[in-house]
Amino acid sequence: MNSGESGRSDGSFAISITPGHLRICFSSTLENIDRAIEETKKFIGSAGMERHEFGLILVVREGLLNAVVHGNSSRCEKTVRYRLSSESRFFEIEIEDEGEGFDWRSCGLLEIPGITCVCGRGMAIMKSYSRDVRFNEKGNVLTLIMSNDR
Amino acid sequence: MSEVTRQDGIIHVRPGGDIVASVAKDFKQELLSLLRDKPPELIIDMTGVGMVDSVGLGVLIAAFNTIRETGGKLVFMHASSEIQGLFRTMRLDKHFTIIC
Repeated sequence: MNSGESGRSDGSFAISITPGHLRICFSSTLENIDRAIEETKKFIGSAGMERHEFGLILVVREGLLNAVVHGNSSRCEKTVRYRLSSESRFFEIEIEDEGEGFDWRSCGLLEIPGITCVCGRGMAIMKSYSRDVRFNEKGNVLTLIMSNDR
Repeated sequence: MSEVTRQDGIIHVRPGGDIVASVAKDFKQELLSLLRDKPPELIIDMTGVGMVDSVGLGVLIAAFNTIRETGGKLVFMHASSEIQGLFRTMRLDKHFTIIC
C-alpha cells in the first residue's frame, strides 16, 4: 500500500482511500449501499466538504441504487465499483456494474414522471443535482460530475 | 419501525431515520397498513430524516395516492430545507402538503 493510502476489506465490501479519492467495491445488496454512503459521508467530512453533502450523497445513492438493482439485478455475486474523486473544481463520481448495460440514448430516463408513477425518478434526480450525467457506450458505467466550489 | 400516534382520527408517523431503499419495503407496508383505517389526514413528521432517495419518494407517493382515493390528506412536517428542495425539484410540492 502506498503512503497516504488506507484500505480494508471484509469479503463483500472493500474500501480504499487515497488523498482526494475514495474507491469502494461491494457485492450488490441494499445494505452495502448504506455502508458505501456512510463511508462517503466520512470522506466528505474529512475533506471539509460537508456543505456539498446532501446533493452529493443523493446522487451517489441514486447511482449505486441503479447499479445494484437495475445493472446487477440485485444479484449479490455481482460487484459494483464506485469511485469518488475531489481533486479538481469538480467532483467526479464513477459507478460501474457487471450488468448487460442498456440503451441509454433511447430511454426518456431524465424526464420527471407524473404523480401516479411511484418509480422512475432516479435518473431525473441525478440529472437535476449534477452538472453532467454520462454513460459509456454499453451503459454499465455511469459518470456524474458535480461542482466543487470550495 | 416508526413512532405512531393517533389523535381525533389523524395519524402521526415519525420514521426517525432516512427513507431510502434499504428500509422502503417495511416503511411502505407500515404506511399502507395505517391507511387501511382511512384517516382524514396522515401526518409524516420528518424529524430525523436526513435523506429520501427515489425509492423512498416512491413510498411517499404511493401513500399520497392511497389516501387521496379516500379523500384524505398527506401532510409533511419538519422536513429539512434540502428535502423540501428535493420535493420541489421532483414537482411533488404541488401535490404534498408541507408545513414547517
